[in-house]
Amino acid sequence: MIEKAMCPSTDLEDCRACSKKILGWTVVGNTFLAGLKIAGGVCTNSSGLLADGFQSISCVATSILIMVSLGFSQRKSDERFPYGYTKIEFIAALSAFSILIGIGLFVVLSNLLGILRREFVQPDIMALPVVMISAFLTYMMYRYNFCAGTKLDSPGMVANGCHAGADLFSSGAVIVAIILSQFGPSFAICDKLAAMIVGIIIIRDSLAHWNGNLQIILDQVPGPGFQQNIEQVIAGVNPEYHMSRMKFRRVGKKFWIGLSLRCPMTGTVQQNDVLMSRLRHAIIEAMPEISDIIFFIEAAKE
Amino acid sequence: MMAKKSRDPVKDNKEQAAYVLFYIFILFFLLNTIFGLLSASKCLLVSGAFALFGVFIAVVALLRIGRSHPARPGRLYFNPDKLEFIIILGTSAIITLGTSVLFFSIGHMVFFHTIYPPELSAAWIAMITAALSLGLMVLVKDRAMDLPEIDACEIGFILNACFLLSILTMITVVIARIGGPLLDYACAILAAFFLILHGIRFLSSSFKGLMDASCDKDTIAEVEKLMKKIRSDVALKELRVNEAGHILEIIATFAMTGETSMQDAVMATENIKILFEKKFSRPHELFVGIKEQK
Repeated sequence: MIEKAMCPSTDLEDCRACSKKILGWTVVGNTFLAGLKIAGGVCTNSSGLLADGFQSISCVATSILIMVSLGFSQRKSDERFPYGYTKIEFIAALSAFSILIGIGLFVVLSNLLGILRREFVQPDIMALPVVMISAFLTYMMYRYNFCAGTKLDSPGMVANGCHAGADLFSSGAVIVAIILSQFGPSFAICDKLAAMIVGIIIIRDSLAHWNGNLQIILDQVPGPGFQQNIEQVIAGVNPEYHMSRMKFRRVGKKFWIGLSLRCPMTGTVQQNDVLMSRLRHAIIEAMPEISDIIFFIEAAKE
Repeated sequence: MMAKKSRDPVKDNKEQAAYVLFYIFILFFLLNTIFGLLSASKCLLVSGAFALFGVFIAVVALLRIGRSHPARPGRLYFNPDKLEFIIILGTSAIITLGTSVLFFSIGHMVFFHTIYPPELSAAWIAMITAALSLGLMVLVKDRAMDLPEIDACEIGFILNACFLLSILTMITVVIARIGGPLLDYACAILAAFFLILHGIRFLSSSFKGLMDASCDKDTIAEVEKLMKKIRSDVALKELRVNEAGHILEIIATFAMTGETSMQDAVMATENIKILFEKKFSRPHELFVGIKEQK
Protein backbone atom coordinates (compact mmCIF):
# COMPACT_ATOMS: atom_id res chain seq x y z
CA MET A 1 0.00 0.00 0.00
CA ILE A 2 1.61 3.27 -1.08
CA GLU A 3 0.86 6.12 1.27
CA LYS A 4 1.15 9.78 0.34
CA ALA A 5 3.81 11.42 2.46
CA MET A 6 2.62 13.77 5.19
CA CYS A 7 5.46 16.19 4.46
CA PRO A 8 7.64 16.82 1.39
CA SER A 9 10.95 16.46 3.25
CA THR A 10 13.25 13.65 2.09
CA ASP A 11 16.05 14.38 4.57
CA LEU A 12 16.53 11.25 6.69
CA GLU A 13 17.65 13.23 9.71
CA ASP A 14 14.44 15.29 9.57
CA CYS A 15 12.43 12.08 9.31
CA ARG A 16 14.24 10.53 12.29
CA ALA A 17 13.60 13.58 14.44
CA CYS A 18 9.99 13.62 13.27
CA SER A 19 9.53 9.89 14.01
CA LYS A 20 10.47 10.43 17.67
CA LYS A 21 7.86 13.21 17.96
CA ILE A 22 5.26 11.07 16.15
CA LEU A 23 5.80 8.19 18.57
CA GLY A 24 5.54 10.51 21.56
CA TRP A 25 2.29 12.02 20.29
CA THR A 26 0.98 8.54 19.42
CA VAL A 27 1.46 7.45 23.04
CA VAL A 28 -0.27 10.58 24.36
CA GLY A 29 -3.04 10.37 21.76
CA ASN A 30 -3.76 6.68 22.33
CA THR A 31 -3.81 7.12 26.10
CA PHE A 32 -6.41 9.88 25.71
CA LEU A 33 -8.41 7.80 23.22
CA ALA A 34 -8.30 4.68 25.40
CA GLY A 35 -9.80 6.62 28.31
CA LEU A 36 -12.39 8.30 26.07
CA LYS A 37 -13.49 5.07 24.36
CA ILE A 38 -13.69 2.97 27.51
CA ALA A 39 -15.69 5.67 29.31
CA GLY A 40 -17.85 6.15 26.22
CA GLY A 41 -18.36 2.39 25.78
CA VAL A 42 -19.45 1.91 29.39
CA CYS A 43 -21.82 4.91 29.36
CA THR A 44 -23.44 4.11 25.99
CA ASN A 45 -23.51 0.25 26.23
CA SER A 46 -21.44 -0.11 23.07
CA SER A 47 -19.35 -3.30 23.15
CA GLY A 48 -17.69 -2.28 19.89
CA LEU A 49 -16.51 1.00 21.43
CA LEU A 50 -15.32 -0.82 24.55
CA ALA A 51 -13.30 -3.31 22.46
CA ASP A 52 -11.90 -0.34 20.55
CA GLY A 53 -10.83 1.21 23.86
CA PHE A 54 -8.87 -1.89 24.89
CA GLN A 55 -7.22 -1.89 21.49
CA SER A 56 -6.06 1.66 22.12
CA ILE A 57 -4.42 0.49 25.34
CA SER A 58 -2.47 -2.08 23.31
CA CYS A 59 -1.52 0.72 20.88
CA VAL A 60 0.02 2.62 23.81
CA ALA A 61 2.02 -0.45 24.83
CA THR A 62 3.29 -1.11 21.31
CA SER A 63 4.16 2.56 20.71
CA ILE A 64 6.31 2.57 23.84
CA LEU A 65 7.92 -0.71 22.74
CA ILE A 66 8.67 0.68 19.28
CA MET A 67 10.00 3.94 20.75
CA VAL A 68 12.47 2.08 22.96
CA SER A 69 13.53 -0.28 20.16
CA LEU A 70 14.10 2.59 17.70
CA GLY A 71 16.38 4.26 20.20
CA PHE A 72 18.47 1.10 20.50
CA SER A 73 18.49 0.22 16.79
CA GLN A 74 20.46 3.38 15.95
CA ARG A 75 23.45 2.16 18.00
CA LYS A 76 26.52 0.89 16.21
CA SER A 77 27.82 -2.64 16.72
CA ASP A 78 30.06 -3.19 19.74
CA GLU A 79 31.72 -6.02 21.67
CA ARG A 80 28.46 -7.11 23.24
CA PHE A 81 26.46 -7.06 19.99
CA PRO A 82 29.02 -7.51 17.19
CA TYR A 83 26.28 -7.73 14.54
CA GLY A 84 24.64 -4.49 15.60
CA TYR A 85 21.31 -3.57 17.17
CA THR A 86 19.13 -3.34 14.06
CA LYS A 87 17.29 -6.58 14.77
CA ILE A 88 15.75 -5.16 17.92
CA GLU A 89 13.28 -3.23 15.81
CA PHE A 90 12.13 -6.40 14.06
CA ILE A 91 11.73 -8.21 17.39
CA ALA A 92 9.69 -5.27 18.70
CA ALA A 93 7.59 -5.23 15.51
CA LEU A 94 7.03 -9.01 15.78
CA SER A 95 5.90 -8.58 19.41
CA ALA A 96 3.60 -5.72 18.38
CA PHE A 97 1.98 -7.82 15.65
CA SER A 98 1.68 -10.80 18.00
CA ILE A 99 -0.22 -8.59 20.45
CA LEU A 100 -2.41 -7.33 17.61
CA ILE A 101 -3.22 -10.87 16.45
CA GLY A 102 -4.07 -11.75 20.06
CA ILE A 103 -6.39 -8.75 20.27
CA GLY A 104 -8.01 -9.69 16.97
CA LEU A 105 -8.64 -13.23 18.20
CA PHE A 106 -10.05 -11.93 21.50
CA VAL A 107 -12.40 -9.52 19.73
CA VAL A 108 -13.67 -12.20 17.31
CA LEU A 109 -14.17 -14.88 19.96
CA SER A 110 -15.75 -12.65 22.61
CA ASN A 111 -18.22 -11.17 20.14
CA LEU A 112 -18.99 -14.58 18.63
CA LEU A 113 -19.79 -15.82 22.13
CA GLY A 114 -21.99 -12.75 22.64
CA ILE A 115 -23.91 -13.53 19.44
CA LEU A 116 -24.34 -17.19 20.37
CA ARG A 117 -25.63 -16.21 23.83
CA ARG A 118 -27.85 -13.55 22.21
CA GLU A 119 -26.39 -10.81 24.42
CA PHE A 120 -27.44 -7.89 22.21
CA VAL A 121 -27.37 -4.41 23.66
CA GLN A 122 -28.40 -1.44 21.62
CA PRO A 123 -25.69 1.24 21.90
CA ASP A 124 -26.74 4.81 22.58
CA ILE A 125 -26.44 7.33 19.71
CA MET A 126 -24.22 9.44 22.01
CA ALA A 127 -21.42 6.96 21.31
CA LEU A 128 -21.27 8.32 17.73
CA PRO A 129 -19.45 11.63 18.38
CA VAL A 130 -16.93 9.80 20.62
CA VAL A 131 -16.15 7.34 17.84
CA MET A 132 -15.91 10.07 15.20
CA ILE A 133 -13.40 12.08 17.25
CA SER A 134 -11.46 8.87 17.84
CA ALA A 135 -11.52 8.00 14.12
CA PHE A 136 -10.17 11.41 13.14
CA LEU A 137 -7.29 11.31 15.66
CA THR A 138 -6.48 7.71 14.78
CA TYR A 139 -6.40 8.56 11.07
CA MET A 140 -3.79 11.25 11.73
CA MET A 141 -1.68 8.84 13.78
CA TYR A 142 -1.99 6.20 11.05
CA ARG A 143 -0.85 8.57 8.28
CA TYR A 144 2.07 10.06 10.20
CA ASN A 145 3.37 6.70 11.41
CA PHE A 146 3.18 5.22 7.92
CA CYS A 147 4.86 8.28 6.40
CA ALA A 148 7.81 8.01 8.77
CA GLY A 149 7.86 4.20 8.52
CA THR A 150 8.05 4.11 4.73
CA LYS A 151 10.57 6.96 4.43
CA LEU A 152 12.88 5.48 7.05
CA ASP A 153 12.13 1.85 5.99
CA SER A 154 11.42 1.19 9.64
CA PRO A 155 9.41 -1.98 10.47
CA GLY A 156 8.69 -0.63 13.95
CA MET A 157 7.03 2.55 12.67
CA VAL A 158 5.13 0.53 10.05
CA ALA A 159 3.91 -1.80 12.83
CA ASN A 160 2.77 1.22 14.80
CA GLY A 161 1.01 2.55 11.71
CA CYS A 162 -0.72 -0.82 11.26
CA HIS A 163 -1.90 -0.67 14.84
CA ALA A 164 -3.37 2.77 14.23
CA GLY A 165 -4.87 1.51 10.97
CA ALA A 166 -6.51 -1.40 12.76
CA ASP A 167 -7.86 1.06 15.32
CA LEU A 168 -9.24 3.16 12.47
CA PHE A 169 -10.98 0.13 10.94
CA SER A 170 -12.55 -0.76 14.25
CA SER A 171 -13.76 2.82 14.75
CA GLY A 172 -15.33 2.73 11.27
CA ALA A 173 -17.08 -0.54 12.03
CA VAL A 174 -18.36 0.84 15.33
CA ILE A 175 -19.75 3.96 13.54
CA VAL A 176 -21.66 1.75 11.08
CA ALA A 177 -22.91 -0.46 13.92
CA ILE A 178 -24.14 2.46 16.05
CA ILE A 179 -26.00 4.02 13.09
CA LEU A 180 -27.63 0.71 12.09
CA SER A 181 -28.55 -0.09 15.69
CA GLN A 182 -30.71 3.04 15.80
CA PHE A 183 -33.11 1.45 13.29
CA GLY A 184 -34.47 -0.91 15.90
CA PRO A 185 -33.60 -3.71 18.36
CA SER A 186 -33.33 -6.26 15.55
CA PHE A 187 -30.29 -4.34 14.29
CA ALA A 188 -28.55 -4.55 17.69
CA ILE A 189 -26.60 -7.58 16.39
CA CYS A 190 -24.77 -5.20 14.04
CA ASP A 191 -22.61 -3.96 16.92
CA LYS A 192 -21.19 -7.43 17.54
CA LEU A 193 -20.97 -8.33 13.86
CA ALA A 194 -19.05 -5.13 13.16
CA ALA A 195 -16.62 -5.91 15.99
CA MET A 196 -16.10 -9.44 14.60
CA ILE A 197 -15.41 -8.20 11.08
CA VAL A 198 -12.92 -5.73 12.51
CA GLY A 199 -11.22 -8.53 14.44
CA ILE A 200 -10.87 -10.62 11.29
CA ILE A 201 -9.43 -7.68 9.32
CA ILE A 202 -6.91 -7.02 12.11
CA ILE A 203 -5.79 -10.67 12.16
CA ARG A 204 -5.46 -10.88 8.38
CA ASP A 205 -3.45 -7.68 8.04
CA SER A 206 -1.22 -8.46 11.00
CA LEU A 207 -0.37 -11.99 9.84
CA ALA A 208 1.33 -10.78 6.66
CA HIS A 209 3.54 -8.30 8.54
CA TRP A 210 4.15 -10.86 11.32
CA ASN A 211 5.40 -13.37 8.78
CA GLY A 212 7.70 -10.81 7.13
CA ASN A 213 9.30 -9.86 10.44
CA LEU A 214 9.62 -13.50 11.49
CA GLN A 215 11.55 -14.29 8.28
CA ILE A 216 14.06 -11.57 9.11
CA ILE A 217 14.45 -12.71 12.72
CA LEU A 218 14.96 -16.32 11.56
CA ASP A 219 17.72 -15.04 9.22
CA GLN A 220 15.84 -16.51 6.28
CA VAL A 221 17.60 -16.27 2.92
CA PRO A 222 15.44 -15.82 -0.20
CA GLY A 223 16.02 -19.41 -1.37
CA PRO A 224 18.50 -21.64 -3.24
CA GLY A 225 18.98 -18.88 -5.83
CA PHE A 226 20.78 -16.77 -3.22
CA GLN A 227 23.59 -19.28 -2.77
CA GLN A 228 23.71 -20.03 -6.50
CA ASN A 229 24.23 -16.33 -7.26
CA ILE A 230 27.16 -16.19 -4.85
CA GLU A 231 28.67 -19.33 -6.41
CA GLN A 232 28.38 -17.76 -9.87
CA VAL A 233 30.18 -14.60 -8.73
CA ILE A 234 32.96 -16.67 -7.13
CA ALA A 235 33.36 -18.71 -10.33
CA GLY A 236 33.49 -15.46 -12.30
CA VAL A 237 36.33 -14.05 -10.18
CA ASN A 238 38.34 -17.28 -9.83
CA PRO A 239 37.01 -20.63 -11.13
CA GLU A 240 39.44 -22.53 -8.88
CA TYR A 241 37.59 -21.40 -5.75
CA HIS A 242 34.53 -23.35 -4.63
CA MET A 243 32.15 -22.62 -1.80
CA SER A 244 31.80 -25.46 0.70
CA ARG A 245 29.69 -23.86 3.44
CA MET A 246 27.80 -20.66 3.96
CA LYS A 247 27.00 -19.12 7.32
CA PHE A 248 24.48 -16.28 7.19
CA ARG A 249 22.56 -13.95 9.40
CA ARG A 250 20.42 -10.92 8.93
CA VAL A 251 21.72 -7.55 9.95
CA GLY A 252 18.58 -5.47 9.62
CA LYS A 253 17.33 -6.02 6.09
CA LYS A 254 20.79 -6.94 4.77
CA PHE A 255 22.86 -10.10 5.21
CA TRP A 256 26.12 -10.88 6.91
CA ILE A 257 27.76 -13.87 5.21
CA GLY A 258 30.53 -16.21 6.30
CA LEU A 259 31.83 -18.21 3.31
CA SER A 260 34.01 -21.30 3.58
CA LEU A 261 35.99 -21.56 0.35
CA ARG A 262 37.96 -24.50 -0.98
CA CYS A 263 40.93 -23.32 -2.97
CA PRO A 264 44.23 -24.64 -4.36
CA MET A 265 47.11 -24.14 -1.93
CA THR A 266 49.15 -21.81 -4.12
CA GLY A 267 50.37 -18.31 -3.47
CA THR A 268 50.92 -16.43 -0.26
CA VAL A 269 48.68 -14.99 2.44
CA GLN A 270 49.18 -11.51 0.93
CA GLN A 271 48.04 -12.65 -2.53
CA ASN A 272 45.10 -14.43 -0.94
CA ASP A 273 44.09 -11.25 0.91
CA VAL A 274 44.06 -9.30 -2.37
CA LEU A 275 41.96 -11.98 -4.03
CA MET A 276 39.52 -12.12 -1.12
CA SER A 277 39.16 -8.34 -1.25
CA ARG A 278 38.34 -8.53 -5.01
CA LEU A 279 35.89 -11.35 -4.37
CA ARG A 280 34.22 -9.45 -1.54
CA HIS A 281 33.81 -6.37 -3.70
CA ALA A 282 32.43 -8.43 -6.63
CA ILE A 283 29.85 -10.23 -4.45
CA ILE A 284 28.62 -7.06 -2.74
CA GLU A 285 28.38 -5.27 -6.09
CA ALA A 286 26.40 -8.16 -7.62
CA MET A 287 24.23 -8.63 -4.53
CA PRO A 288 23.68 -5.32 -2.69
CA GLU A 289 21.52 -7.09 -0.08
CA ILE A 290 24.80 -8.38 1.42
CA SER A 291 26.38 -5.94 3.87
CA ASP A 292 29.54 -7.81 4.92
CA ILE A 293 31.43 -11.04 4.13
CA ILE A 294 34.05 -13.03 6.02
CA PHE A 295 36.00 -15.75 4.21
CA PHE A 296 37.26 -19.02 5.69
CA ILE A 297 39.75 -20.96 3.60
CA GLU A 298 39.78 -24.75 3.47
CA ALA A 299 42.10 -27.04 1.57
CA ALA A 300 40.64 -28.24 -1.73
CA LYS A 301 39.57 -31.90 -1.63
CA GLU A 302 41.66 -34.06 -3.95
CA MET B 1 3.18 -39.57 19.61
CA MET B 2 6.69 -40.99 19.84
CA ALA B 3 9.66 -40.69 17.53
CA LYS B 4 9.68 -42.96 14.50
CA LYS B 5 12.71 -45.22 14.50
CA SER B 6 15.44 -43.73 12.32
CA ARG B 7 18.67 -45.40 11.21
CA ASP B 8 20.52 -43.43 13.89
CA PRO B 9 20.29 -45.27 17.26
CA VAL B 10 21.97 -42.36 19.08
CA LYS B 11 19.32 -39.98 17.79
CA ASP B 12 16.55 -42.48 18.69
CA ASN B 13 17.82 -42.77 22.29
CA LYS B 14 18.05 -39.03 22.66
CA GLU B 15 14.57 -38.53 21.22
CA GLN B 16 13.15 -41.17 23.53
CA ALA B 17 14.63 -39.39 26.55
CA ALA B 18 13.28 -36.02 25.34
CA TYR B 19 9.80 -37.47 24.74
CA VAL B 20 9.79 -39.05 28.22
CA LEU B 21 10.59 -35.63 29.71
CA PHE B 22 7.94 -34.00 27.51
CA TYR B 23 5.15 -36.37 28.58
CA ILE B 24 6.11 -36.30 32.25
CA PHE B 25 6.08 -32.50 32.33
CA ILE B 26 2.72 -32.48 30.50
CA LEU B 27 1.43 -34.86 33.17
CA PHE B 28 2.80 -32.61 35.95
CA PHE B 29 1.25 -29.55 34.32
CA LEU B 30 -2.19 -31.11 33.86
CA LEU B 31 -2.31 -32.81 37.27
CA ASN B 32 -1.08 -29.78 39.20
CA THR B 33 -3.20 -27.22 37.33
CA ILE B 34 -6.46 -29.20 37.32
CA PHE B 35 -6.16 -30.34 40.93
CA GLY B 36 -4.80 -26.95 41.95
CA LEU B 37 -8.05 -25.38 40.67
CA LEU B 38 -10.30 -28.13 42.07
CA SER B 39 -8.67 -28.23 45.49
CA ALA B 40 -7.98 -24.46 45.76
CA SER B 41 -4.26 -25.11 46.32
CA LYS B 42 -2.28 -22.09 45.07
CA CYS B 43 1.06 -23.88 45.55
CA LEU B 44 -0.06 -26.63 43.21
CA LEU B 45 -1.07 -24.05 40.58
CA VAL B 46 2.37 -22.43 40.68
CA SER B 47 3.96 -25.89 40.47
CA GLY B 48 1.89 -26.41 37.30
CA ALA B 49 3.32 -23.19 35.85
CA PHE B 50 6.87 -24.44 36.55
CA ALA B 51 6.01 -27.72 34.84
CA LEU B 52 4.88 -25.76 31.75
CA PHE B 53 8.39 -24.35 31.45
CA GLY B 54 9.63 -27.94 31.53
CA VAL B 55 7.30 -28.84 28.64
CA PHE B 56 8.85 -26.15 26.44
CA ILE B 57 12.40 -27.06 27.40
CA ALA B 58 11.60 -30.62 26.27
CA VAL B 59 10.21 -29.23 22.96
CA VAL B 60 13.40 -27.20 22.45
CA ALA B 61 15.47 -30.32 23.22
CA LEU B 62 13.60 -32.20 20.47
CA LEU B 63 14.34 -29.36 18.03
CA ARG B 64 18.02 -29.44 18.98
CA ILE B 65 18.22 -33.21 18.56
CA GLY B 66 16.66 -32.84 15.11
CA ARG B 67 19.25 -30.19 14.30
CA SER B 68 22.21 -32.25 15.57
CA HIS B 69 21.02 -35.34 13.70
CA PRO B 70 19.27 -34.13 10.56
CA ALA B 71 17.16 -36.83 8.89
CA ARG B 72 17.92 -35.43 5.48
CA PRO B 73 21.21 -33.52 5.34
CA GLY B 74 20.63 -30.55 3.15
CA ARG B 75 20.65 -26.83 3.07
CA LEU B 76 18.50 -24.92 5.46
CA TYR B 77 17.36 -21.48 4.39
CA PHE B 78 17.08 -20.13 7.92
CA ASN B 79 19.01 -20.44 11.18
CA PRO B 80 17.31 -23.12 13.33
CA ASP B 81 18.81 -21.75 16.55
CA LYS B 82 16.70 -18.63 16.01
CA LEU B 83 13.57 -20.81 15.95
CA GLU B 84 14.53 -22.17 19.39
CA PHE B 85 14.99 -18.65 20.72
CA ILE B 86 11.62 -17.53 19.28
CA ILE B 87 9.86 -20.48 20.95
CA ILE B 88 11.60 -19.75 24.26
CA LEU B 89 10.83 -16.01 23.95
CA GLY B 90 7.17 -16.59 23.14
CA THR B 91 6.54 -19.22 25.80
CA SER B 92 8.52 -17.34 28.46
CA ALA B 93 6.45 -14.24 27.74
CA ILE B 94 3.18 -16.19 28.01
CA ILE B 95 4.21 -18.07 31.18
CA THR B 96 5.65 -14.95 32.86
CA LEU B 97 2.50 -12.99 32.04
CA GLY B 98 0.25 -15.82 33.23
CA THR B 99 2.21 -16.18 36.46
CA SER B 100 2.08 -12.41 37.01
CA VAL B 101 -1.72 -12.58 36.68
CA LEU B 102 -1.71 -15.49 39.18
CA PHE B 103 0.61 -13.55 41.50
CA PHE B 104 -1.67 -10.52 41.54
CA SER B 105 -4.88 -12.52 41.80
CA ILE B 106 -3.51 -14.40 44.82
CA GLY B 107 -2.50 -11.07 46.35
CA HIS B 108 -5.96 -9.70 45.54
CA MET B 109 -7.62 -12.66 47.30
CA VAL B 110 -5.47 -12.16 50.40
CA PHE B 111 -6.08 -8.39 50.41
CA PHE B 112 -9.84 -8.79 50.11
CA HIS B 113 -9.94 -11.74 52.57
CA THR B 114 -11.38 -14.30 50.12
CA ILE B 115 -9.44 -17.18 51.62
CA TYR B 116 -10.04 -20.76 50.47
CA PRO B 117 -7.95 -23.37 52.30
CA PRO B 118 -6.47 -26.15 50.15
CA GLU B 119 -8.23 -29.51 50.23
CA LEU B 120 -6.78 -32.95 51.01
CA SER B 121 -6.70 -34.05 47.35
CA ALA B 122 -3.94 -31.49 46.75
CA ALA B 123 -1.69 -33.41 49.18
CA TRP B 124 -2.15 -36.68 47.24
CA ILE B 125 -1.29 -35.06 43.91
CA ALA B 126 1.66 -33.32 45.53
CA MET B 127 2.92 -36.69 46.79
CA ILE B 128 2.78 -38.17 43.27
CA THR B 129 4.52 -35.11 41.81
CA ALA B 130 7.23 -35.19 44.48
CA ALA B 131 7.96 -38.90 43.89
CA LEU B 132 8.08 -38.50 40.09
CA SER B 133 10.23 -35.35 40.35
CA LEU B 134 12.74 -37.11 42.57
CA GLY B 135 12.96 -40.11 40.25
CA LEU B 136 13.37 -37.89 37.22
CA MET B 137 16.08 -35.81 38.92
CA VAL B 138 18.17 -38.93 39.46
CA LEU B 139 17.59 -40.06 35.87
CA VAL B 140 18.50 -36.68 34.36
CA LYS B 141 21.63 -36.48 36.52
CA ASP B 142 22.76 -39.92 35.29
CA ARG B 143 22.15 -39.23 31.62
CA ALA B 144 23.03 -35.52 31.43
CA MET B 145 26.45 -36.14 29.80
CA ASP B 146 24.92 -38.22 26.98
CA LEU B 147 22.28 -35.62 26.20
CA PRO B 148 23.92 -32.26 25.54
CA GLU B 149 20.79 -31.09 23.69
CA ILE B 150 18.75 -31.29 26.88
CA ASP B 151 19.48 -28.36 29.16
CA ALA B 152 20.11 -30.49 32.24
CA CYS B 153 20.61 -27.46 34.52
CA GLU B 154 17.23 -26.00 33.64
CA ILE B 155 15.47 -29.35 33.87
CA GLY B 156 17.14 -29.90 37.25
CA PHE B 157 15.99 -26.46 38.43
CA ILE B 158 12.40 -27.07 37.35
CA LEU B 159 12.30 -30.55 38.89
CA ASN B 160 13.72 -29.13 42.14
CA ALA B 161 11.05 -26.43 42.08
CA CYS B 162 8.26 -28.98 41.44
CA PHE B 163 9.62 -31.21 44.22
CA LEU B 164 9.89 -28.37 46.76
CA LEU B 165 6.46 -27.00 45.87
CA SER B 166 4.97 -30.48 46.25
CA ILE B 167 6.47 -30.77 49.75
CA LEU B 168 5.22 -27.25 50.56
CA THR B 169 1.74 -28.18 49.25
CA MET B 170 1.58 -31.16 51.61
CA ILE B 171 2.70 -28.95 54.52
CA THR B 172 0.18 -26.20 53.65
CA VAL B 173 -2.68 -28.76 53.50
CA VAL B 174 -1.76 -30.00 57.00
CA ILE B 175 -1.37 -26.46 58.40
CA ALA B 176 -4.68 -25.38 56.76
CA ARG B 177 -6.45 -28.22 58.56
CA ILE B 178 -5.27 -26.88 61.92
CA GLY B 179 -6.37 -23.32 61.13
CA GLY B 180 -3.59 -21.73 59.07
CA PRO B 181 -4.90 -21.34 55.48
CA LEU B 182 -2.69 -18.32 54.71
CA LEU B 183 0.52 -20.39 54.46
CA ASP B 184 -0.67 -21.72 51.07
CA TYR B 185 -1.07 -18.17 49.75
CA ALA B 186 2.26 -17.00 51.19
CA CYS B 187 4.23 -19.93 49.67
CA ALA B 188 2.45 -19.55 46.32
CA ILE B 189 3.21 -15.81 46.15
CA LEU B 190 6.89 -16.45 46.95
CA ALA B 191 7.15 -19.28 44.40
CA ALA B 192 5.30 -17.22 41.74
CA PHE B 193 7.76 -14.37 42.33
CA PHE B 194 10.71 -16.72 41.69
CA LEU B 195 8.99 -18.11 38.60
CA ILE B 196 8.51 -14.59 37.23
CA LEU B 197 12.24 -13.87 37.83
CA HIS B 198 13.07 -17.14 36.10
CA GLY B 199 10.81 -16.22 33.18
CA ILE B 200 12.48 -12.82 32.85
CA ARG B 201 15.87 -14.54 32.79
CA PHE B 202 14.66 -16.81 29.96
CA LEU B 203 13.25 -13.81 28.09
CA SER B 204 16.55 -12.00 28.45
CA SER B 205 18.68 -14.94 27.25
CA SER B 206 16.42 -15.71 24.27
CA PHE B 207 16.35 -12.03 23.37
CA LYS B 208 20.18 -11.92 23.39
CA GLY B 209 20.22 -15.07 21.25
CA LEU B 210 17.92 -13.47 18.67
CA MET B 211 20.14 -10.36 18.64
CA ASP B 212 23.27 -12.53 18.06
CA ALA B 213 24.84 -11.17 21.23
CA SER B 214 28.33 -12.27 22.22
CA CYS B 215 28.75 -14.94 24.86
CA ASP B 216 29.65 -14.11 28.44
CA LYS B 217 33.22 -12.89 29.01
CA ASP B 218 34.29 -16.07 30.84
CA THR B 219 33.44 -18.29 27.86
CA ILE B 220 35.17 -15.94 25.42
CA ALA B 221 38.25 -15.84 27.66
CA GLU B 222 38.26 -19.65 27.87
CA VAL B 223 38.08 -20.00 24.07
CA GLU B 224 40.75 -17.32 23.56
CA LYS B 225 43.09 -18.94 26.09
CA LEU B 226 42.71 -22.35 24.45
CA MET B 227 43.33 -20.96 20.93
CA LYS B 228 46.49 -19.19 22.05
CA LYS B 229 47.68 -22.31 23.85
CA ILE B 230 47.14 -24.45 20.72
CA ARG B 231 49.09 -22.14 18.43
CA SER B 232 51.11 -19.55 20.31
CA ASP B 233 53.09 -18.70 17.14
CA VAL B 234 50.03 -17.40 15.29
CA ALA B 235 48.40 -14.14 16.36
CA LEU B 236 44.65 -14.24 17.06
CA LYS B 237 43.34 -11.10 15.38
CA GLU B 238 39.58 -11.36 15.94
CA LEU B 239 37.33 -13.66 17.93
CA ARG B 240 33.54 -13.82 17.90
CA VAL B 241 31.73 -16.28 20.13
CA ASN B 242 27.93 -16.50 19.95
CA GLU B 243 25.40 -18.90 21.38
CA ALA B 244 23.49 -20.56 18.56
CA GLY B 245 21.04 -22.59 20.65
CA HIS B 246 23.05 -25.17 22.60
CA ILE B 247 25.98 -24.84 20.18
CA LEU B 248 28.70 -22.22 20.47
CA GLU B 249 29.47 -20.54 17.18
CA ILE B 250 33.13 -19.50 17.16
CA ILE B 251 34.63 -17.33 14.42
CA ALA B 252 38.36 -16.85 14.80
CA THR B 253 40.58 -14.85 12.48
CA PHE B 254 44.33 -15.36 12.68
CA ALA B 255 46.91 -12.92 11.37
CA MET B 256 49.93 -14.29 9.52
CA THR B 257 52.77 -12.58 7.69
CA GLY B 258 52.10 -11.86 4.03
CA GLU B 259 54.97 -14.09 2.88
CA THR B 260 53.52 -17.20 4.56
CA SER B 261 52.48 -19.72 1.93
CA MET B 262 48.78 -20.56 1.70
CA GLN B 263 49.64 -24.23 2.19
CA ASP B 264 51.28 -23.49 5.58
CA ALA B 265 48.50 -21.10 6.52
CA VAL B 266 45.70 -23.58 5.76
CA MET B 267 47.56 -26.41 7.48
CA ALA B 268 47.89 -24.22 10.57
CA THR B 269 44.14 -23.49 10.58
CA GLU B 270 43.26 -27.18 10.09
CA ASN B 271 45.61 -28.04 12.95
CA ILE B 272 43.88 -25.46 15.17
CA LYS B 273 40.46 -26.91 14.33
CA ILE B 274 41.51 -30.49 15.07
CA LEU B 275 43.18 -29.67 18.39
CA PHE B 276 40.38 -27.34 19.48
CA GLU B 277 37.81 -30.05 18.74
CA LYS B 278 39.74 -32.43 21.03
CA LYS B 279 40.26 -30.00 23.90
CA PHE B 280 37.01 -27.98 24.00
CA SER B 281 34.22 -30.10 25.45
CA ARG B 282 31.15 -27.91 24.76
CA PRO B 283 29.29 -28.51 21.46
CA HIS B 284 30.58 -25.92 19.03
CA GLU B 285 30.97 -24.91 15.39
CA LEU B 286 34.35 -23.40 14.60
CA PHE B 287 35.20 -21.21 11.62
CA VAL B 288 38.81 -20.11 11.14
CA GLY B 289 39.88 -17.30 8.83
CA ILE B 290 43.29 -15.97 7.78
CA LYS B 291 44.34 -12.37 7.25
CA GLU B 292 47.63 -10.73 6.47
CA GLN B 293 49.38 -9.32 9.52
CA LYS B 294 49.84 -5.59 8.93
